[in-house]
Amino acid sequence: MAVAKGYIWDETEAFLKQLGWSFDTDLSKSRQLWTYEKQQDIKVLLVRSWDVPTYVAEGAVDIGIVGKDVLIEQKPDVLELLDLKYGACELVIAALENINLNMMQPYQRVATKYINSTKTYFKDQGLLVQPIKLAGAIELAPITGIADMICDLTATGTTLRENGLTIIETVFKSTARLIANPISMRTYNSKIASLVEQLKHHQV
Amino acid sequence: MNRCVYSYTNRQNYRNCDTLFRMLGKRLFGSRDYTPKEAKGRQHLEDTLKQVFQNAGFEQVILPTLELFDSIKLIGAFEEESCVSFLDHQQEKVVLRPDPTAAIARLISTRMQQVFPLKLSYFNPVFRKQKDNNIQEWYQAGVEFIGANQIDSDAYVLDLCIQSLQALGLQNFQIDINHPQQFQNFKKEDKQHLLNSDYLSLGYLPKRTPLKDWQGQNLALLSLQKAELYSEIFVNEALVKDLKYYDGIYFEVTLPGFPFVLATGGRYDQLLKKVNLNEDAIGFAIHLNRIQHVLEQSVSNE
Repeated sequence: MAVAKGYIWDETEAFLKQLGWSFDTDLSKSRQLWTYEKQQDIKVLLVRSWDVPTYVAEGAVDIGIVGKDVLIEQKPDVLELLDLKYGACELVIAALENINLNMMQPYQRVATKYINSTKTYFKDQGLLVQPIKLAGAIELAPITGIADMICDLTATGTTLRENGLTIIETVFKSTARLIANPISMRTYNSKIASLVEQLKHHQV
Repeated sequence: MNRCVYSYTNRQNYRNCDTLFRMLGKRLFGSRDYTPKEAKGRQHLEDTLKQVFQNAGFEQVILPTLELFDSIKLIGAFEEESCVSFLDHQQEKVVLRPDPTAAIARLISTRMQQVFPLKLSYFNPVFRKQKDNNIQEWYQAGVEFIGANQIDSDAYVLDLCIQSLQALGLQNFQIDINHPQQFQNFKKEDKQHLLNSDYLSLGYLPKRTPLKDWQGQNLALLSLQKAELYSEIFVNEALVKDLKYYDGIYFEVTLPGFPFVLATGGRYDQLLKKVNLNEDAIGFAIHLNRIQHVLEQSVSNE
């Protein structure tokens, strides 16, 4: 199983510990990137959230836990098995001041890590924009003037607010999802199905 | 999906050689070549299968690589976007064979004495455009059994597929099977969710039941159940992607630990009716590149 590093792993670890899972190594204290759960016989790998779908689709791992935002953006060839409900966040459009999107000039620059989602969103709105791909610290883009607005993920909006940005619109809401490789879903069907049952049963 | 391992022992030499020669080293992403050792491995697989098919009374045919797009479209067994196509000098659309079914249907209807049942086998590459727009070439070995009594030939062909894979040295493979009638039992919305693999909207995971424990009304599946061919056969509700081409059983073979399908097969009676052949037909195709990859891996793991 591959789990996205960061907040998804933190909440996943807490959730799984509630179910009585115990991991060989405490990954918060160690630099090790994988751990093992003996009772379930599951090896857990910590990878960057954008890489989780790749690990799963390529069959390097059988299942994964990753945010819906990554799935919407990458459209990977994986099966979505369960909405885990935690890890909630939103993809939003934000700018230095509140702009009315319908009144804006064509070809405004939008800095984002979510190129596909940004394109689809503005296309659906019938608006012409110029997306600019950045890998991180998107909030800096409007301040430094390389973009007019940004399209980025936020949980509480704090980072955006602290960098002087206002949320204009929400593109979509996202939560953590359990995903599986389509072929593993056959070859390890009963194990994955019982895991889904177990997780579903303990959801709040 | 086809993970080829190229090991250049003289890679350093290759890096140092001049640009002209290095251009030769470029290749299409989905194609591969075989060293004598690799070729021997492939030849061995092919010879084994030829023997199995021949013993079962299947005769080999050789099919053209190039096809008119119209004939592929007529049969309708293949989606346009996954064909590798180009225009010839008369501006006619030509495709590299994506699947042998169209060619076999034409061969029977135009050049063969129509004495049924017919047992044909083929060994040839097929060409597909993948989702990432790479062209993929792979090598298929398969059989088509045409004009035989439905229920008996299902078990017969599935059994031949199992025997072929075992003859190639594969063990513990799993066969997932489904039938369009089973799919028709679902409600309209649920059908769409299944087709989209959207199990969250479906509300539950599609069931995968061992064939021996399966309970249902479907005659084809029930007769397979009675035949008791192989222990690892599962009736899988999730197997729906290609159901529109098949009008009887449909199956796919996988192996734990490998993220791809090794063989596919099914019944396609309606396809032949399109070329005025009023006969039942069932067949399967084995993906030889992937089988070779799997066997090479299991040798290197020992």
